[in-house]
Amino acid sequence: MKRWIALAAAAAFAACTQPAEKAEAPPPVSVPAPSGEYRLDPNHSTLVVRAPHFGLSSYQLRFNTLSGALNFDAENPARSSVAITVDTTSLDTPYTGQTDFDAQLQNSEWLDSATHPTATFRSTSVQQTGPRTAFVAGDLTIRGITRPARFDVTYNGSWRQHPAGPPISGIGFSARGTIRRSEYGLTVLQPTTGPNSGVADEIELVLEAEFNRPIADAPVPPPDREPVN
Amino acid sequence: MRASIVALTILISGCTTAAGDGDRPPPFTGTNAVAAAVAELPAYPTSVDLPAGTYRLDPRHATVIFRIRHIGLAWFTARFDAEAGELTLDPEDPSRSRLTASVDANSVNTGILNRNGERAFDRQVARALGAERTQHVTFTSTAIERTGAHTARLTGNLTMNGQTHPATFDVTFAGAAVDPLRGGRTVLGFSAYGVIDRTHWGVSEWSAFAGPEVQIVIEAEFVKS
Repeated sequence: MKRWIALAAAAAFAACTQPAEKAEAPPPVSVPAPSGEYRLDPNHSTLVVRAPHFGLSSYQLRFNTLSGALNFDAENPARSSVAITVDTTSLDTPYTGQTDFDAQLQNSEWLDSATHPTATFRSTSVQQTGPRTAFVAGDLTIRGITRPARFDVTYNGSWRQHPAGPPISGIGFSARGTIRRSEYGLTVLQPTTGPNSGVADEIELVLEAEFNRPIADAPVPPPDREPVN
Repeated sequence: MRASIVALTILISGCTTAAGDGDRPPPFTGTNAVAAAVAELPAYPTSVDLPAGTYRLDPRHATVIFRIRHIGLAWFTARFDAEAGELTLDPEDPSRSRLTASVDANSVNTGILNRNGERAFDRQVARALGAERTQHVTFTSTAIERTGAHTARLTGNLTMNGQTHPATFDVTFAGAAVDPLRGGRTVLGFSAYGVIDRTHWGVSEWSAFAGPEVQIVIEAEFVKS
């Protein structure tokens, strides 16, 4: 039995290393994940914000609490849509000084998290730019101010069923975009004497996002249990 | 037996996602400089004098994050909260500069809390990094090769989990400033991006779910001592 498994494993490896079929055009990306509504997996998704400081380095901070939904169209990915919500009170820097830097960045001068506890993005269009890349444009709302924003998105991979067995499909993306914080009323410490002063107006958002959905034709769970999501 | 089948399933499903790996997202910081032969090295991107000598990493203006591929879907991103570094700068010949830097493996911070609001997962990651054997993951430069006007390839020895192996970073020197808020001292700003294979250091925990490749993204300011 052990030997059979070893053989099967070897065959699986060989399948991996087989060269792609010859074709005139680059082979289309095969997407194992089915169409449907997906939910953002909060434990495997991360949002980093990079803010250039004095033209010297980009300070990297994080938002720890994200949620979101993806309506994925596997046949025509450009017809997919996505909505992401960021809990602005989950802002998290590694700062360990005397002052509470996280709280400072949430005060009324900055994110004003007490009044605006969420920031949201809702896509309005998806324009494919390559076999696995797209521009995703939409409405970004920060501090209650909505402006158009665009992200460069890369499709990383997906599976019809989670490799460890749970009856869920998964799909993952990397997204990057640059916004002008002044457009959202974030005008504190704007550069005053050239690019090498203050905190840059243009800041970068880097999102790594995984989405899951229950497999529709998976065995029906016992009636006393809620479906696992 | 059951474990073998699970392993096999993972192996096979790994194939389906591995198909896309030739088409990786671009480097995180975009600092992969073209290593053109620079006949006359252009000036640094600063008008500030660069005094030779020792500069210390300013932990309040430095962030160290790392990214690791999770089941082929995304680059899970975490960070180290405690870091230190010392740069000995030779502004005449930057290739003769030296850098030592470290992060505290126990300061790893994923932002993930358990149901009781505890950082149990961070402790697991620290153990996986070998924090009990080597608390401070250290990097000591062995070679600095200038690749452009303000870029360099930084090679050194990285010690983690009781093992030392070479690691290379692409570094961008963003510029310098004399900062009144930091005692009127000269401050240097750098971005660094490097990729290591964690299994070289024997860090192979969760290899069924997390890739061997680790992207390291460092943004750091150094203040003249």
